[in-house]
Formats: sequence, structure tokens, C-alpha cells
Amino acid sequence: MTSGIAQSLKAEYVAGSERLRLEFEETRSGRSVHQGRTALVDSLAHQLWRHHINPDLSSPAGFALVAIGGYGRGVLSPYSDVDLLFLSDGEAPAAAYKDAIRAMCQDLWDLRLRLSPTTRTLDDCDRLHRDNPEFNISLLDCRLLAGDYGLFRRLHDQIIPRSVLRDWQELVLLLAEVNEARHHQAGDTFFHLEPNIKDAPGGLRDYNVSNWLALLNGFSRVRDWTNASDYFPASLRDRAQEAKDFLVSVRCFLHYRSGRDDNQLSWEAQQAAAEAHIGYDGGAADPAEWMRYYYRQARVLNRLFATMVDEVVPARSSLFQQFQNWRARLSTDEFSCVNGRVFLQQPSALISPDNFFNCFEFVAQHGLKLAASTDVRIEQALPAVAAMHLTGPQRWAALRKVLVRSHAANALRIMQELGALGLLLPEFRAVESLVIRDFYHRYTVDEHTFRAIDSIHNLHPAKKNGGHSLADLVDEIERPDLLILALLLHDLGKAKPDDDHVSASLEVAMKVCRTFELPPEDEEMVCFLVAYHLDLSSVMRRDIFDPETIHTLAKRVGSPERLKMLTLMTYADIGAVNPTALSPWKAENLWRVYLSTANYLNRSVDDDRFHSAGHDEQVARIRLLAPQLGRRLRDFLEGLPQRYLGMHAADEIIQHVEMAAQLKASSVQTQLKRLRGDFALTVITQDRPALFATLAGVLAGWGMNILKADAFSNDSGTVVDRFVFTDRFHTLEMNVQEWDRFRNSFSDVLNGVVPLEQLARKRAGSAAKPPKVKVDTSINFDQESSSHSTVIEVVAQDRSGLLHRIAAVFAECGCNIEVALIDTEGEMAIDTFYLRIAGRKLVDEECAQLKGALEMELES
Amino acid sequence: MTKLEAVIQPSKLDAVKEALLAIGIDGLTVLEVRGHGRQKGHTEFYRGREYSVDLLPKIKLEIVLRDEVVDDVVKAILGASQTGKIGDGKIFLSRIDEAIRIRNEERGTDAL
Repeated sequence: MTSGIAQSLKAEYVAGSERLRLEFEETRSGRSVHQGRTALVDSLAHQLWRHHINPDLSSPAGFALVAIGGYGRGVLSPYSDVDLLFLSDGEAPAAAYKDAIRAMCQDLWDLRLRLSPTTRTLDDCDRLHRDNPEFNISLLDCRLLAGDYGLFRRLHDQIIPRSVLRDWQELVLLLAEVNEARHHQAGDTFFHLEPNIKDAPGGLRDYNVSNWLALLNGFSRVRDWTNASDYFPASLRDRAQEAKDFLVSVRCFLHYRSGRDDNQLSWEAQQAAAEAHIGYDGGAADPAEWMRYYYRQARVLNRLFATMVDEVVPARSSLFQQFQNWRARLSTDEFSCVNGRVFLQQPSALISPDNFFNCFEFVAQHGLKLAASTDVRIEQALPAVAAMHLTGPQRWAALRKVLVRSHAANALRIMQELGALGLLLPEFRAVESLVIRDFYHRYTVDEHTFRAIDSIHNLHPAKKNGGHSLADLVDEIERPDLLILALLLHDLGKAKPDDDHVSASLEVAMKVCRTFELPPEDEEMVCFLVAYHLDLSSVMRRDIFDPETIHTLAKRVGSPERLKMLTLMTYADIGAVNPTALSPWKAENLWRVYLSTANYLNRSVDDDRFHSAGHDEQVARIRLLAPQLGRRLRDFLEGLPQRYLGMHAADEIIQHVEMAAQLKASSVQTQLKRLRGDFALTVITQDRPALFATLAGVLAGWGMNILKADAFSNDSGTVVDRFVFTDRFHTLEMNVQEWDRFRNSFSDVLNGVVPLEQLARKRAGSAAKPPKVKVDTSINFDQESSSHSTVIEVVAQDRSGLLHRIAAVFAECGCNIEVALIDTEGEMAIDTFYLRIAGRKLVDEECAQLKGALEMELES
Repeated sequence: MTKLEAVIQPSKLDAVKEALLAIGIDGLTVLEVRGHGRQKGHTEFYRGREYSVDLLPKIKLEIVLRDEVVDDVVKAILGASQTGKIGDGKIFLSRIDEAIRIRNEERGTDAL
């Protein structure tokens, strides 16, 4: 700087900057810094204008100095850019002041301001700069600093509104594209371990873009300048302001800390910001707690940005528009769907809890967003719904409807934002934006949970996502609702200041299950999953090919259903920790562990039997629940496979003991239960030749389609056979009076009162549907896994009467079924039997003969 | 300088890391790999399908060391990962000509 004014400006700038820094150290207010620094730079610009351009601040005619961008908005952080526009009415003034402009800029650069100057004519400002749309956008923040007021008014009142209205669609699309690319570059998430608080999703840029989109929206509606925040969703307006103020303070802190335009909230900076209580005076200087507050604010700005993009940005292509129109066909009596957003048909109906939560089910089902007006209606209806104090079962019913839908996580996020999740599961509030600050957990606990739920739904084979072997398990599990509930609860214990979050989560899970009044077996499953959700991860750190590792895991898990659920839970839990946590290597290892353990569970049933000499926790629990059973319990369980204990809840086992006690009075005991959509029949009787084949035959005679079955026997020859089946012809569903006849038919056939053939003739005329997927028959023998029996696995096309036909072949070949494990996967029947002939394993010749007989029967 | 590459059982990673830390080696690169040597895989049947496990999961460690500590490091890895069974893995040693720290261009063992 050569002039005399230069020295005094430098002194003024240094002193002013230092004063602002000291003020910030005291007040921690970024907003004050912005105001003070804007005024300071304004003062420098005015003095330099007088010195280099014109002594009169409002002259010369046809030339003006305009602040644009962040400086125009009056939001200058300590080291942020200063955007200046030298506005010229035609080329002549700009040419005349060319040297003066250069000198003025030189002086500002010498002050070490990060200056971005540009010289433009009014005509330049009147066209869309497709290669530099940021310039057109920066004009939206224009503010006169010096020069021709009339010229500035022409820019502000005529040129900008005219060009914006003319190029509105293109400008909005460019703005959205640039910023969606920015989000995409940051992984489309505001969860970063060291976020850039300006450019990352949920950063200050999101607030600014929302502001511009709101202004552009205002132009399109009233064709003039408006107050941008009037176009923000009402529910976000105040919160967005609070979030912006917080980030402004953090940004100033980061700038002062590093002495440059540094917006990276590094690990160390988080610690320092928490200690200095920057923007948040939340008591203890805990960086995890401070970051929790940061994520809450980032969530608000991220949501504001997404909402404004949705509200303002027009459809980009006809294909996109077609998709949105298609979605309109989803509209129902309660909700209409316009441009992918849900509107309420009857807003007043929201005060009914059913309608209120149906809205979220609709979102979870179709992956939609709520319209801003629906947001407002829901927030208004919330107190009335809360005042109705839903019972536990009502809350579970409402939550369950959301959890089982394929976009459950999307709906849960919205429910959490609006406070509706807290009505159903208040315990979840404790983990909202909770940070696990260990450089491994990238997401807050609530977001981790939602991502875990998402990964289960995304794994569903129907979504054809990657075709991973684990995807098949999603279709096979009986109760996906319980798995998702367990995922929702599995980390709630992290809110408690205790190292052992699993125990704390289990405590919360038990409380929630009881509040929801879940049946004991459902509670047991949920609590098992929560209690053991880290176990498979631990196993993967051991030798997964060591039989002992698998044996120990199998004993702990107990049943294939639990194993499937736990495997899926582990998959979801690891994958939701950070984007690279579940490497293909790890996913493959998880599948291997599942495979080995599932095979172990299915092929060791015969060897692993209950003997009263040992201690079993479940048996001890049953004794406490039903002390009246006394010796009968031990006698019944003696010699039954442990698998039986793993598959049945305590109350079911008590019922079975009671049924077994009645066998002297009536030799065939049956119990029929209604499941969700299916039926379960349990038969307890003494073993006899072809028993399993006969029971399967009776079911086929009634036209029932067997989905699952298992058959176990104890040391005294008492057999417990259980069949899960669908009632294809709605016989039981439509005729309650048929239940007794159905149950009695089993004892009638087994006792020889009615021949099985007579029952089978009833359905002889029923035409079988042709299969949709062809399944090749596969018959495998395993002589290794069981020390007592030959294990045979039959995989075949599922069809009516299949199980009866297979079991009848066994009977014809003189095989006794020691254990049967029957499963169905789509159109594939997967049946495992433990067979013996005359109390021993089958020899090779017998296996070959049996295989031939089975193949002949299954081909016919 | 010597580059040490060790292929070990995944279950031994924690023990090896602890052993290395105990002798002052606190920097290493860990890779999740698959492979087999003489320890061939095996086949599992599940639901009528055959799953062959021919490439087994292993962990590969890479460390560049000053020559004088190589023997200690090898001993530490052997001590922590040896079970005597097929599949324990292997250690490979090779010469390194130069190392350069990108941040400040330090060279040789100073860059390690």
C-alpha cells in the first residue's frame, strides 16, 4: 500500500479485527462478529471509494460498488471471502475507472482481505451465467456500498426480478443440481466424524441455499422481493434460525482457532469448542454432548434444505414427472399423494390415533415424504393424541404397522422429527442424536438404529439388492416385526452412563415388551436378540472353522429361527456403524458362521438330548412357573432333544406336559392354535409305526398345506409332533365348528376308526396349481453328524401331500423317524429327517434303496 | 530396512497386535484377505445347495521395520499366532530400498 491512507486503514483494520476477536472470546457470539466485521469492511470500502473513485459516497453517476454473496448478506466470518461487484451502466464507466478499481482492490488485498472482485454492466447482470450460476445467485444478496443509488435500484428493482422470473426454472434447477452434487460428494449424510460445517449436508451452505430457494419461490409467487424465511416451513423457521446462529458461532471459532478460512470441525476442534462452550452452554464441557447438539442443528438444516428443494424445485424430466404421477395413484380416502408428498384428505381426522399413525404407515409403505402442510397438521394434532394416553398394546399395534413396511426407517425418522415416535416409544428419546465419540461409530445412536432397520428392509430379496446369500434369510424368518423391534431397542442402553450397554439395553427392552404386553414367546425372542446382539461379532473374531466355536454358538442360540434372526441383526448392526464397517470379507464370514451353525443345529439334534442330571436354565424357570408339575416335567423332558426346549416357550412346554398326562385317558392329544395367517397343530401321543406319515396324511386329507413341522420323541416313547400349515380352503377359518371335527379326525385315523384313504379321497379331485418356480429334487445322506441316526435332507418342489408321501416311503422301507425338521421356502420344501432301522443307522445299501424309492415317489 | 508381510488367522489379530505393541511396534497395515495354502477348504451343503469354502478368510499384516528389530517382531508374531496346526499362516521378509515420509520428505529409517 503506497498511499498515506493505507497506513491508517491497516491500523484501523488490525485494531478492529482484534477488538472483534476479543469480543468473541468473551461473548462467543458469531452473529456479533458478523455484524462487526461487515461494518469494519464497509468502513474500509467507503474510505477507499472516497480515496480512489469519488470523494462523494453517492457518486459518480452510472457507477456503483455493491456487496454481494455473504458480504452482501452482512455475514462475514473472520477469514471468509469478501465479494464485491463494481457495477457499471454500460462499458464506459467501468473503462473510465479501470485503474481506480485496480488500485482499490490492491489496497484491500494488501490488508489481507480475501477479496473476490468482479466488474459487470447492468446487461451482464441481466443474463443467466450458465457456467457460473453462483454469480446470479450472489446477486440475490446485493447491498449498495457506494456510488449511484439510482443505478443500484435499477439492478435491485428491475434487472434481478426480471432475469430471475425469465430464467426461474433453469436457475432453480442449476442451484439444486450444484447443491445436490455437493451433498452427494459428502455421502448424502450430515453424519461425518469431522464435518465441514460450511459445505457438508446440514452445514451453513444448506441454510443459504434454502434462503435462496425461498427467495426464488417468493419471486415466482408475488413477482417481487419477499422475506425469504416467510417461505420456510413454519415448523422449521425458528429452529433453522437457531441452528444457523449456532453454526455461525462455530465457524467464527474455527476461523480464529486456525487463523484462516478453516471450516473443518476436526476431532481436536470439537474438544476445544466443547471446552469453550461455543454456541451451546450445556453444562459439562463434554465433546460428545457438544457434538450431539451439533448433530441436532445439522439435522434441522439438512431437513430445511431437503424440504425447500422438494417444495421449490420443479420436476426435472418427464420420466421423473411420470413417476410422481404414478405415485398419485397411491392416494386413498385418508391421504392424497401429490408429487411424492402426502397430503391429508381430512386434516381434522388426525385427532384419532388410528388416523394419526396410519399416516406414518402410509409413508413407511410407499417411501413418501410429508407435505409441509401435513407436517404442520401433525404437529398441531400431537398434543391431542398424546392426551389420549394409548395403552401399551395400542402403541405396539401402531408401531408394528410401521416397522414391517419396507420404508420403515424413513417413516421413523419423520416420526422422530415430529415427536410422534416419542408417543409410542418414549424410551427412544434418550438416544436422539446421541454421539458415540470413538472414531468408529460414524452415526449417532438414533441414526445408526434407523440405518440398521433400513439395511434389513433393503436386504429383502424383493428389492434385489446385491443378491447376497443373507437376503434369503429375510424371507425365511417368521417374525420380521420382532427383529425390527429388537433393532429399534438394541442400543437404547447407550443412553445410560454405563460401560455395559447390552445389559442396560436389555433392561429397557424387557420394560418395553411388558408395556406392549407382548406374549411371553415374543418377549423372549426380542430380549434374546438384544442380549446377544454382539455375540456373532465376537464369534467372527475367533476361528470360525473350529467346530468348538460353532458348537458353543449353536448351544447358546438354541434354534435355527433364533440363529437366522441373530445373523440378520448382526449384519444390520455392523453395516450401520460406518459405511465401510461391513466389508464383503466380513459379510462372507458372517454367512459362513451362519451356514456352519445352521447345519450343526439341524444335524446334531439327535445327539443333544435333555437329561435331568444336567442343569438347564429354562427347565429351572418352568419349575418355578409350574411347581405342580413335579416329576411329570422331568419324565416328559427326559430324552427329548434340547432343540425342543429351544423351540418352545415355557408356557407351551407346560401345556405339553399337561397334555402328556392325559394320554392314559385319551391316547391322542391335540392342540390347535391360530397363528398370524396360519395354524399350528400339536399332537402328543405314543410312538407307533408310520405315525408321522399318518398325521401328514390327515392334514393333506383336509387340504392343509404344511409349511413347517417338527417331530421329537422322549425316552419313554412319547412323541411331540407340531405342524404349521395354511388352511388353503379356509375350512377352519370360516367354520369354527369344524375345529373339533378336525382335531378328532387325527385320533379317529390313528385309532383305526376312520381309514386314512377315506379322508384322502375327499381332496382327490382338487386340482393342484402348476408351480411358479421349478425346484429340482435333491436327496443327501449324512452319516457323520449324528452318532445314532442317519440324517437325510430332502429338497423338493413343494406340493400338496408331499410330506405324507415322503414319510410313507420311510415307513415302507422300515425306517423310524427319530426327529423330523420340516421347512418351506417359497416353492421349495426342505425336509430333514433322522432315521433309524431297528435302532441303528442305515447301511449304505439301505440308503441307496431308500433314495431310489424316494426318487420314484417324488417323480410320479 | 525390511518389509514384513504376515498372513495369519483372523482370530489371532488381537493377540498379534498386543504382542507387537508390547515390543514398541505401534504402526501396521491390516488387510482382510482370502486364500489358501496347503490348508485347502471344505464343502458345506445347505438346503440342497453346495457351498464350497475353497478360499479361507485370513488377515495380512504389512510392516516396514528397521533391520535390528526384525527378529524381535518375527518372534512376537510367532508367539502370538502359532497353534501348530495347518492354517497358522506365513511370514515373508523382503528388503526395502528407501522410505519417504510425504509430509516432510524425511528419508530412510527416519521416515518409518
